[in-house]
Amino acid sequence: MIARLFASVRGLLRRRRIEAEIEEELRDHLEREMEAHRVRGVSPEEARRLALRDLGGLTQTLESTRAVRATWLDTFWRDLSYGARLLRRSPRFTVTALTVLVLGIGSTTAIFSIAYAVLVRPLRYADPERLVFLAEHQGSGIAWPNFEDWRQRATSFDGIASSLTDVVFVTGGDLPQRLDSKSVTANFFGVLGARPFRGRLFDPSDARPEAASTAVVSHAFSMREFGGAPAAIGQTLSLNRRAYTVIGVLPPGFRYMTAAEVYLLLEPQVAANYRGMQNRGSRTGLYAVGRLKPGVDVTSARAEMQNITAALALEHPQANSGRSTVVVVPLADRVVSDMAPTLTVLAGAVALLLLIACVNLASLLLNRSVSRAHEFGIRAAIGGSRWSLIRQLLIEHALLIGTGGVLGALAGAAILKGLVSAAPADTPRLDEIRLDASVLACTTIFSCACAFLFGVLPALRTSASAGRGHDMVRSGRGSTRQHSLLRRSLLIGEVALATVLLAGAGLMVHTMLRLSRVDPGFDPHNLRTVMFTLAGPAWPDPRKQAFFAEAVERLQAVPGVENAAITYSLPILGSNW
Amino acid sequence: MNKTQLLQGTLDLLILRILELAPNHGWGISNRLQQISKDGLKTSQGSLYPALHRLEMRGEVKSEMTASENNRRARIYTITRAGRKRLSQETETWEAFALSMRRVLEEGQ
Repeated sequence: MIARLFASVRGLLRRRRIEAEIEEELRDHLEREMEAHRVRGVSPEEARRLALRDLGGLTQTLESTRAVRATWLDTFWRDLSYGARLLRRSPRFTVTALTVLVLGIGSTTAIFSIAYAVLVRPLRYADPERLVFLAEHQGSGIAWPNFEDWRQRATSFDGIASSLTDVVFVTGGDLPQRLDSKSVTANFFGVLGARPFRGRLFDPSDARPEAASTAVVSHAFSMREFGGAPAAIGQTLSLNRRAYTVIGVLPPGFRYMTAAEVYLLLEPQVAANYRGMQNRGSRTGLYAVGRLKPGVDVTSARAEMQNITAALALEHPQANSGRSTVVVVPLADRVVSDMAPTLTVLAGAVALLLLIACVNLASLLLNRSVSRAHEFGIRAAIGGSRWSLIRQLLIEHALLIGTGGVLGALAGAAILKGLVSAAPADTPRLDEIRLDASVLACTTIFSCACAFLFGVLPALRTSASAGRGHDMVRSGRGSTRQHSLLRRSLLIGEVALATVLLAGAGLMVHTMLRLSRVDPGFDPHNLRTVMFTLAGPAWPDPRKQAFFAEAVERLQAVPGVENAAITYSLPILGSNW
Repeated sequence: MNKTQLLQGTLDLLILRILELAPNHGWGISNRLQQISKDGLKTSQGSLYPALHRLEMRGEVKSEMTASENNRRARIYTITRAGRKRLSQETETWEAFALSMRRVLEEGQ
């Protein structure tokens, strides 16, 4: 098989030589035949005429002999170059069709790749469908004592871990450095099923009170700070004036909800009553993730957790007042909860866009097939086989779609890159977004199907009716009428779709404009904001208050500053606003 | 049957038979064909060349461009082992067929 393929390729390369040799062979034949006639006393002109007649014409014989030599590759190549020539000869059609294809395939692939990465593709944890997110009443943070009770009483889970998103400061250097951190229970990585890239992750022994302070860092942090993951292991990090030993590096791209550079143990912080965590009434930013036991579904886990929460509310009526319900949702839902509706709407709109592109393409191809009906009629009439017509059409369209598909993929990659770089950094799973091959294949196949349906089939019907040879004029007219009906209905559908999309897009723009003009209730002109954090044991509350007071005083003293103030969260931006 | 019309399989058989005697070029084959059959099997020369190239594609003959008189090159065809094998098989088939035909025709007399 492979040998035959190679022979075909060689044959393709040697085609010119083979054809020249066939011609040489036939000319040699003619010379000999003419010679034989002349020997019998025939005039040279007559000899030539007789020789050509007996051979059945030089060109015809050349053609039929070459046809014997032609492999499928030759035929394919000839059809391909014929198709390319045709497309080059009608640049307006080609450019329009390609533009439609590139825009349709490119934008659809980009948006669907994002939607697929964010909404559909499983989370990058082991058995992600068994992971659930847990929070207290209406999604508020969990009090540590409640979490401990959950962990003791719940039977639906292989394990429940909790995490607190925080910031820490690298101290000891010239300037303190602010790092995004997470404080997690010792079983956190085990529940997620995460594996270390280097070193090891936390285990229960690290959480013992007498254990040394340990930290796990992200791959990016190990590269930046230590120049490589292996070098990071065993290093000492001075965080919030406390020394931590780096015991492990997470795999590149590991992320739970938001990105973090350093992971510390939560248990020692609880022991130190950080943020008043030992108090059941305190609301900390603690959330939990649980791994369901095999065979347990979210509904039954929720029912169990609901019972436990209700019991805890009764047992600790003061601390747990107003905390009678619990949130238990699949982790994947929680991760993408904000983006899901937006993305679904966007994907729907883009699907419509692809549909419009396909309708455009269809009407273009339909037009073309009508104008080419005559050519196909003639080709069928002079004996072009039906199969060779089909093959020609298929190859022609494959050429168009193939070019469009490649350009569309490039455009899609460019659009995707632009979108990802423009997307807010807290977009869930942003780092997992990439041009998806299966999405690209889907859009391309969709366009192919559309091209086949509207490009190849009508042309075939025309060629079939014309090929029967009788009454070509009438059948041609009949098919034109049919086509114009189809074309008109396509046009109507297209205009309708475009109107709907335009209206939708217009409304969205209008909403955005209105939002940007909403009166915020204050005068935002000449306002400047600065964000900073004071955290850790070095900043007890009295010192913070003194700092704030002095900062405001000194800022007001700066020339050009009319007034200054300090707030926890900025107007509109902060969730606490 | 028009004498210029030959079944394709028959033409293959005749070509192989002529080449079994000696390697030859296309014109020589067509000439020999006329001589041997005493002009009774004059083949269309137009169908000779496709047939020769088809035989070559099937590996039953091989060809070579060789220098011939007056500075020209001619393609000389030679029968291969596969060609000989086919020739002997087809000859048997043909003879069996001819025998059956003769029996039927003589029976009818």
